[in-house]
Amino acid sequence: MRNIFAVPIRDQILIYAPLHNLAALVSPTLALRLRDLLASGEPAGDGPLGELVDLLRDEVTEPAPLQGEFVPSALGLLPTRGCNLACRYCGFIASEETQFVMSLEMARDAVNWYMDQVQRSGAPHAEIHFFGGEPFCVEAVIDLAVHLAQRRAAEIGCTLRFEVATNGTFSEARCYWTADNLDTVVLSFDGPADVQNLHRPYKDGSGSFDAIARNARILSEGANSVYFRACITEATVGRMPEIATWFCQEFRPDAVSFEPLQPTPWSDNAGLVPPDPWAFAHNFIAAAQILEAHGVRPVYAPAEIGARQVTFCPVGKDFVIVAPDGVLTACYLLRGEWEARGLDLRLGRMNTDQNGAVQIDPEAVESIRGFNVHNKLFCAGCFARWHCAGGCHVNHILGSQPGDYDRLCIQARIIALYNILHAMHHDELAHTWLQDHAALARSVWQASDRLADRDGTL
Amino acid sequence: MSTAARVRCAPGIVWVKDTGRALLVDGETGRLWALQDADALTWELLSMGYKYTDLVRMLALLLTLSEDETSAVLDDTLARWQAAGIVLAAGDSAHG
Repeated sequence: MRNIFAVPIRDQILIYAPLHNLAALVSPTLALRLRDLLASGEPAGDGPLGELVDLLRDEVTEPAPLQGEFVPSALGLLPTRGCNLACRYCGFIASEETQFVMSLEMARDAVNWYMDQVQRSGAPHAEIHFFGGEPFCVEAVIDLAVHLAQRRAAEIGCTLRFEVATNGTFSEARCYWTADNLDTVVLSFDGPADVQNLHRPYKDGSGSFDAIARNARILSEGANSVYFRACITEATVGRMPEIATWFCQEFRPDAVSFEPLQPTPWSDNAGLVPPDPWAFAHNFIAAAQILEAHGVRPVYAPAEIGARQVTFCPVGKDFVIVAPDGVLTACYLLRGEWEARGLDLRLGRMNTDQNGAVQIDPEAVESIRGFNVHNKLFCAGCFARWHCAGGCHVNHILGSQPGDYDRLCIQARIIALYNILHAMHHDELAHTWLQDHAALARSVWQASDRLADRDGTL
Repeated sequence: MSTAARVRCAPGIVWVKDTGRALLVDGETGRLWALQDADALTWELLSMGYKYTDLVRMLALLLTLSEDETSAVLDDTLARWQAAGIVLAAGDSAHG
């Protein structure tokens, strides 16, 4: 019964069992009866309650951490940690790591090693992601990696997908190339000119809006998938519906992801503050309705109820990221960030003096596979544990006591609950629940959502 | 560096990439070219504005050739393309 959850939604109880692919709204009395029947194992009889009990008695398999032989699930390349922008919230600006640029030989060796692994494992598919800094600051690495991987994939006979996370300020010619050659473009785009230019100026202080807007239009016309990723602050949280409307009117993204500002000393200096989580959740949901009405997928990644995962990000998924200095890591954040948290997310390194030999450290692989929600006791009783999986292993510091939810937990729980009600077509209930702050607070502030932990006052 | 090294794509040429080939059309004459394999790769990199030395380095890594070998192949390719009019010497105007 550990994966059956019960969350109050006004005067009803949402029974949510993600591993059973089941959600139901029942009365509190029925929820307690359900709990007792599941605990006792006694027959539930015929009728809707009996059917529900039968479904929830089915054995389910929890998502498990990876085990056994290391086979890279994807390759990430970091051509540089440097960037042409000086975003006011970005911690990369002052990092010493920005001085390194990946050599073409290292990119070649990394791609060849990865494609060799794909061939050896017989995997039908290969996947290469480019992160930064701004990866297009070193275009030659991207060109080399794309052409080489395409040639190797054709030899091996596997499919191949490319994804890039970019600030989108590249030239028009490079934009057309990107639209033609990369499958998914994740564009950091915070909104209309006043927001974009305030948050994401060039290093000389001038605005980046004109370049990104031109390129977003070009990419909108391409065959590839385009995701906008907008950073939301306290000042812009109330504008999320407006930003969503504007994105839909001006461009044709496939998805829009809204992410709350992750505070840094630089964002503090710039006077940028994370949004209030309740306001973020409310405005995300309002924005999501606008996006969906335009056929655009709204994304708040920790609340994606389609996900069943033990880790939220590449960490723990045997995803290999090659840093410009040849260190292989599991995380695309700056090394200094995770080292400051006492974490070691290195998987190995490339030895450029030994013909690019790649050394994966088996102990590091095992250690990093341990970064998963099974080892996050704080999340054990949360209905969203298999969706959010505790979030970022580096920046999401989990509470010490059950129910000690921080702003990230609060907004993830509200949005995930909304997503569940929306998927059940209970939009009217979702709307009244969102307007009822006391009811919303009751839903959020449960120390444990497990049905088995619910007492008689449910 | 050879004379053929200092070239650029002729401005009247439009092109598309199609399953590993580069299909070129001269918008004025209607003449067509289908470039395959290394030629298609060279055309794409040239169209992205790579300078000769960078082009040699990139192609050498992609084609697993030495830079001297790559340079010889590239000079030959660019000379053929210049004769065909799909690339121009860098100082030439579009209508020569």
